[in-house]
Amino acid sequence: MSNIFIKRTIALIATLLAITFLTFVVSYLSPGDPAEIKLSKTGMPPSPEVIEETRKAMGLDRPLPVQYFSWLKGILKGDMGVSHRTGQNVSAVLGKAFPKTLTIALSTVLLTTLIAIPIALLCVRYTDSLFDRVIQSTTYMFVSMPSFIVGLVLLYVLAVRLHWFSVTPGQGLKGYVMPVSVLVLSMSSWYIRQMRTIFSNQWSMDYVAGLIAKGISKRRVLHRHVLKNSLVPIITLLGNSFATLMVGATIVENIFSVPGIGHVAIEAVLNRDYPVIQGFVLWTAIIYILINFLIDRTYSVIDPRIRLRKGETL
Amino acid sequence: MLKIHNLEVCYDKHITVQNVNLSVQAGEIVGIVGESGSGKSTLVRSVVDILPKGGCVTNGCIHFCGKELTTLKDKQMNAVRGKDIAMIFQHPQLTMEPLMTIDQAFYECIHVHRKCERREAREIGKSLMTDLGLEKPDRILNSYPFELSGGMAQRVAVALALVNGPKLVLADEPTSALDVTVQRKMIDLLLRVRDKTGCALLLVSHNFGVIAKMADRVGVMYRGKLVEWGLKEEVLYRPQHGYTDRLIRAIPKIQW
Repeated sequence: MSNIFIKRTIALIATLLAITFLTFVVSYLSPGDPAEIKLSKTGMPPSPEVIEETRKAMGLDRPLPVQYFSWLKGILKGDMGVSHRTGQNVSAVLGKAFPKTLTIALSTVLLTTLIAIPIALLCVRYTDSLFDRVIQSTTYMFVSMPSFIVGLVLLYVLAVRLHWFSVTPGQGLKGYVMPVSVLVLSMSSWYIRQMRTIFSNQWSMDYVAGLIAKGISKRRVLHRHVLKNSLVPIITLLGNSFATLMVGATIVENIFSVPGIGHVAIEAVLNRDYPVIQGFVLWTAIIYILINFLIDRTYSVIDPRIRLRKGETL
Repeated sequence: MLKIHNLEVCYDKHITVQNVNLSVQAGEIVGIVGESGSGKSTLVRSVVDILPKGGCVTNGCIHFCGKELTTLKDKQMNAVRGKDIAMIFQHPQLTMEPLMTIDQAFYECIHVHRKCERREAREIGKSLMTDLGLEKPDRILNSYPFELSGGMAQRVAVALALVNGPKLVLADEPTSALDVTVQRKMIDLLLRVRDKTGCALLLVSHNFGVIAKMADRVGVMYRGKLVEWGLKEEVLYRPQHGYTDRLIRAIPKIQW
């Protein structure tokens, strides 16, 4: 057990190092001089001497590895550098955006799960019924529509026509209702379809006939045994969706002006704000690695075949 | 006890079983032989209504202990399944829920039919498995289906089937997935179960040897019809149908 844990941790650190280095190099090689960009913000074209001085002050004149390691050293201390554009600490910028993105991601994944699982179960229980067919075609429609269209329609209906919400970001939790609804609408449509497929695959397995032959009701077989046996693929999908949302639902955050991670990332890219971009990429890497690690762990908790086989190879 | 009259089963309008009449008396072993695709599996599955998707009984009656099974509602049928009529399948590991330990399976099987504590279920499972000659029942109870060997899993499946004291056990190719030495043990086990519990057995196999060894009464299925039906000796020595004759002559000569 400890052996595998050490191996995994080393692999984890190596992946993180590789990712940080790559992002640093890509940012370094991309056109546009951060010093010049910073100075142009004042409105006056800076003289070459001033640019040179600023470059020195920002440490941009040092060789690439030196810059990388000083950046990495800062990271380890929790210092991700300072935004070229606003002069704010990068960790502070991301830290401020984080709770908003977390709220959106958590509530979206939670609501999607709560909506999609019961509907998908009903679809399988009553396969080819009217209910099933209506759900199939409705979800098909929402899946084929880009989320920003759903967002704009919702914005028009709820804010412009019905005045339930304001077009500008609402205060407190109210501000999240619309962006989360848009995400939940398109995500749960996709999830109902995916889960229906997963459940109906399980439903045709031999163990289902075995359980029914024992006198267990079809309802219980579906809600208990089929659901449990479907958890591995479902958690994989949900985990990945959660990771994607934690990195920022860029389009939806921008439509509804939620200053989350996705919003920060777009701003940073448009302004070539390298420290923020690097901070964002690092954040992305950490989120994906962490979530995949957790997904992996849950596999062995759920499925004894995975758990015990792992035990054998040790 | 079980009386099947004029049964017809269809899969999406395609007739798979047609005009089948047979009966099983209490404590009797009835064996149905036939090649794969002859409809014998469909026949036994239709008794407890666990046909695969698209399959349904389109005609005839299945009479069991004063009940007409084809007209029972799902809920009433659930009370019969696993209680009065139990079933053993060809692939025990595939027909057990993969994420349940044997312990949990015993509990689930008993619990759906009557109130029962987990510890009580475990004790019942343990004594049943000991009766069936399974060693280290505690270890088996803590295992998952995939951890058991084929022969062991099939014996566990028999124990699980017997847990509610069924009057009739349906066995769909119970020996076919096992290797020959284990097959022999399985046959002996099922015979012993019948003698001990007095339950009737409706056994389906493509293996005439297995049927000849076990059954009191034999039916031969061919293309969805029961072409031969009678006491074992009659069918074996005086077959009425040409197909039965060919089937009997196709039995490899093995000394049991």
